[in-house]
Amino acid sequence: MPKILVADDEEDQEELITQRFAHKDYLRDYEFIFARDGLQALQLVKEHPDIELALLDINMPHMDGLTLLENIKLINPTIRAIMLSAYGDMSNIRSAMNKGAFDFLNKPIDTNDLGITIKKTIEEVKRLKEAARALHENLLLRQKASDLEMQALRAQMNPHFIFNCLSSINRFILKHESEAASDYLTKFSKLIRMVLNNSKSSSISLAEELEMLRHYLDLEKLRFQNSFDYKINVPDHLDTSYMFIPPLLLQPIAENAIWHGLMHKEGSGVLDIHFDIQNSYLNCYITDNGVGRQKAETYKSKSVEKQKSLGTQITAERIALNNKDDNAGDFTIEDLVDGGGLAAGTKVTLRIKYNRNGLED
Amino acid sequence: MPKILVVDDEKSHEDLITQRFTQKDFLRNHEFIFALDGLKALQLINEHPDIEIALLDINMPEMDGLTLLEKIRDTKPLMRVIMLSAYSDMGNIRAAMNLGAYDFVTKPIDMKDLELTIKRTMEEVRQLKESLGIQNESHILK
Repeated sequence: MPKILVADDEEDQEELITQRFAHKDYLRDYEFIFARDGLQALQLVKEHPDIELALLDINMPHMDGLTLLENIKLINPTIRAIMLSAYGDMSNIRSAMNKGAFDFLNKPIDTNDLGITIKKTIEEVKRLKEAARALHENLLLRQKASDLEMQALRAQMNPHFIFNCLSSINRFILKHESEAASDYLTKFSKLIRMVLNNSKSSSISLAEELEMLRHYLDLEKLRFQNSFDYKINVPDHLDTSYMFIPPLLLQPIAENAIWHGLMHKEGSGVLDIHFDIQNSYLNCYITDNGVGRQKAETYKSKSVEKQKSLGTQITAERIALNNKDDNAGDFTIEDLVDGGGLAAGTKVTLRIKYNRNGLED
Repeated sequence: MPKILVVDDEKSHEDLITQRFTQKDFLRNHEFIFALDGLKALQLINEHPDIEIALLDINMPEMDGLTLLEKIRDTKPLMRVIMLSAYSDMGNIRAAMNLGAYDFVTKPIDMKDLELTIKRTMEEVRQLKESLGIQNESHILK
């Protein structure tokens, strides 16, 4: 039962309240507890977290009412205090109000005023509780909205990826390379199984993400007849099984590097993926030595993969959602040039907030 | 710009507040407007929906401060009222507090007290608005 604390060194105050107030209808949900000095009152505040109102005498032994008011605010800021002051002791009343008292009463207590003031304060406490409840509800709703958004973004990713793989298989079939098609299809189905399993969760371990990425890159290598190679470097000190990130963040970037950078390159292409960590962020560097973005653009305009950059955009949005910020540095693309100033590939840097337990924070 | 309405038949308070407060940093986003009686104040309240805080003198011609306080309480639930009362006028101070005034200051005005009181009242209004904003957002999210 919520409580009203009365701290007053005058004995008759307790009597007055017990006899005249405790049975009032608006107090039926409240219990009164009494303290005879400030220190005792403070102890009761610590012991009873369900104190909602406090009537505090200003003049009390051991700890005066103003000091008590400030201490109560530190322990339980939701308590609303009504100060009891000597009649017309304006400077103490003003101090109390400026220290955050909700209201005050003059002594000797006018029981009518006391009744109105308590009722009013109970209303205020109700309003504050309702505001706290609404805030909590709002946080839950926001979390739900954010989860839904994540789900929607993941759902967008999968068909996009599947479309590209199926078009690769179709190409083998058209070229009557049935063995390659079958091989490709087998690997593809393994990958799809992983993707479907993992996309149900909002985060997966970096180890799982890398396994999926390797499957994916193997498929692409096969399709491009080993015209490129890839390297994934994870520093030994990173425990990838205990670092959790949203699934399938890296794959669309690797896909871009292959389809736009490396596919058009003459000679051997290399896709280099490496990592480091900085505080609670995982930095991923995805570098290709392909034709560069400018040249890729000219190929893109005549190919069916024109809509490809969707993957980049979705990834950037997902990282922003995951990191819960809108930091431009979380997703950067750098055009690399060689010593002679010619395009030498593209480097994408992702800064992903990871967590250690796999739970949403 | 959010407004603070000062209703007082003593013109000297308008000058005092203008001189002492308009330069203050905590009031850089607020504008003061003044009325010399309660009826004029009601008219300003209707014209300016962005009045957040009202300082009301208790003794005024045409309409006294307590009557105006009740009218504000019943029509402007987000506005917070600070009463200006004579130092010894405890009966009216208690009446005002029980009619829903957020706080009061006594005359002659202690400017330090008034500043603290306005700051606290601004914070109260900020929290009220925030709370309302949260409820509106939740309503949209539902």
